[in-house]
Amino acid sequence: MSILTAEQRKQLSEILEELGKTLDITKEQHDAAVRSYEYVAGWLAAEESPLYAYKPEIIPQGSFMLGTMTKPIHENDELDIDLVCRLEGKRPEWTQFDVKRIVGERLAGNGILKKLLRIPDGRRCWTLQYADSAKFHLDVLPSIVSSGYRTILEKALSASDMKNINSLAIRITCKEESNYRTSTRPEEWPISNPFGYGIWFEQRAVITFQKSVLMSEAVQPIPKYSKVKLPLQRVVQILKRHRDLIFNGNDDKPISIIITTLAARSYRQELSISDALMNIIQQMPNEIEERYSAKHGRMIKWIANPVNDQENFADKWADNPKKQENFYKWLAQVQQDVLTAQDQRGLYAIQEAMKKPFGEREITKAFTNYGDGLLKLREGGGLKMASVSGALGMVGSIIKNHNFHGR
Amino acid sequence: MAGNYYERSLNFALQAGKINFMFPGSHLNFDQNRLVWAHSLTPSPLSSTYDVRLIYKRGEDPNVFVTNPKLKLYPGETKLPHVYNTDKQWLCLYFRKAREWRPNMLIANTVISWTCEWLVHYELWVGTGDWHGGGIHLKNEFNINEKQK
Repeated sequence: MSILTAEQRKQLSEILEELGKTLDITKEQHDAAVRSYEYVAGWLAAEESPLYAYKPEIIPQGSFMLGTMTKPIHENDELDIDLVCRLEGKRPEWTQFDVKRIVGERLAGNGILKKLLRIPDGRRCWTLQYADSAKFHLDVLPSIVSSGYRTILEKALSASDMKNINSLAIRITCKEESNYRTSTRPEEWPISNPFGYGIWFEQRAVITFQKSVLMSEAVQPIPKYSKVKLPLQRVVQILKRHRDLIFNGNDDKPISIIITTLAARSYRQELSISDALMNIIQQMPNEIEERYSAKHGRMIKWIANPVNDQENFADKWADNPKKQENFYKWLAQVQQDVLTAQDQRGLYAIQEAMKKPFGEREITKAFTNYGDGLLKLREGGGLKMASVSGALGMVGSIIKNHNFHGR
Repeated sequence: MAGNYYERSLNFALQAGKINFMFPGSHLNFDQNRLVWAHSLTPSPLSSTYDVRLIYKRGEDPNVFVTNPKLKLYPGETKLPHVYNTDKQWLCLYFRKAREWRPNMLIANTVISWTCEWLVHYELWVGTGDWHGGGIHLKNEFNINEKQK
């Protein structure tokens, strides 16, 4: 393995940024998804809705909220958009089953949504399956929060400290719970804290001198599309794409929440994507704990939810060793692939080395955009040539405009 | 033709001095009528290194050749893009008829930097099959405004 110079790391970051942009969902995809769930939210919150009194609101969670969405490997595959449907309270007699049912019934009461609603419902979500041309589906998670939740959330976002993070927890429904049809007390229902997690992620991702609006923008009912991404967001996108290519359709693939959490824990505020990526893939295994499991009578791998230490994102590993094995196999592969790519000299050789790990179409697009960017930079008078090596970049003498001629 | 701007051309010692300043230790020979420069260029931090040779005769345009290595072609292509001759690896760096380079310009700041730019775009061409460096294709040379990638 060769040690890269500062200039080489910078150039690699520029290439990785182009790759990240290529993997990201487009503004059109983003806006189409937002328009769709806005419509759903409006329907749930309408005056004649049985949920009207509980001020239903739909906001993104998961990678759509974190800004770490990646396009599916196959252009025709669907984006999977995770949303929370937040209700401020409920009728006292409603159980988890009732909340889920009433949300479902309201969705089915709309002619358009009825056709999209996937039957039966999921373990925790209702899925709205949009037409093939839209290429996405919405996973809507019904949940109960206390009244005034929006205020609590805004406060937590502006304070951006983790002290009161538990106050952001929401109560959700889950078919597999023994009290699914019996308990009417939300404090006995399964707990989830996607917005607390988002604030934690943002704090890990933010580069000290920057004011981040990642979360405060993401949890708005109509979040804006952001083209600019922090290095940690780009690294998560790149790692997820690598995972997707290795484990295409395999149920035992490393899950996104594990990759995202370990990457965020490993990140050390590196300013460049290449530095962040190198560090993260080396550091990730050190962020996995071992804890004693009474159930298994031995030490098991533990990847704690940063906003709920008792929740193990790797809880399935102990009973399904294939999942654990796949995670470590994937990590070794991504380490090797990144080192192989950075050891090449000649942009075409780097491109060739990145094709298989990240996808030929996206890599070709990333290098195409990189080349177009160099031309644009020179035409704008911003491209320079360094003395001695002749390397193009931001130092040296400005390259005058000209036209390559000939065939 | 050359005589039209002969009187305005920079003298070769000045050209050589600037090249030597920017590329200390490179091979440089010149007299009043001829300048030959040879150097290894790494046109971007992650690029390969290329040996190039520049020959400039008084009254002519400077000619640049990649002398080593033998350049790769994009799969299925038989010729390099933007060259006068693929076998000689003789680069087309600017539009001569439009006199984008004139002998009153410093070679170090123009032809040599365009060589580096050519090399980077060559590397991207080998990888993507498309030329991203802009310019004019031969078939369009009567229409300078129509740039083709």
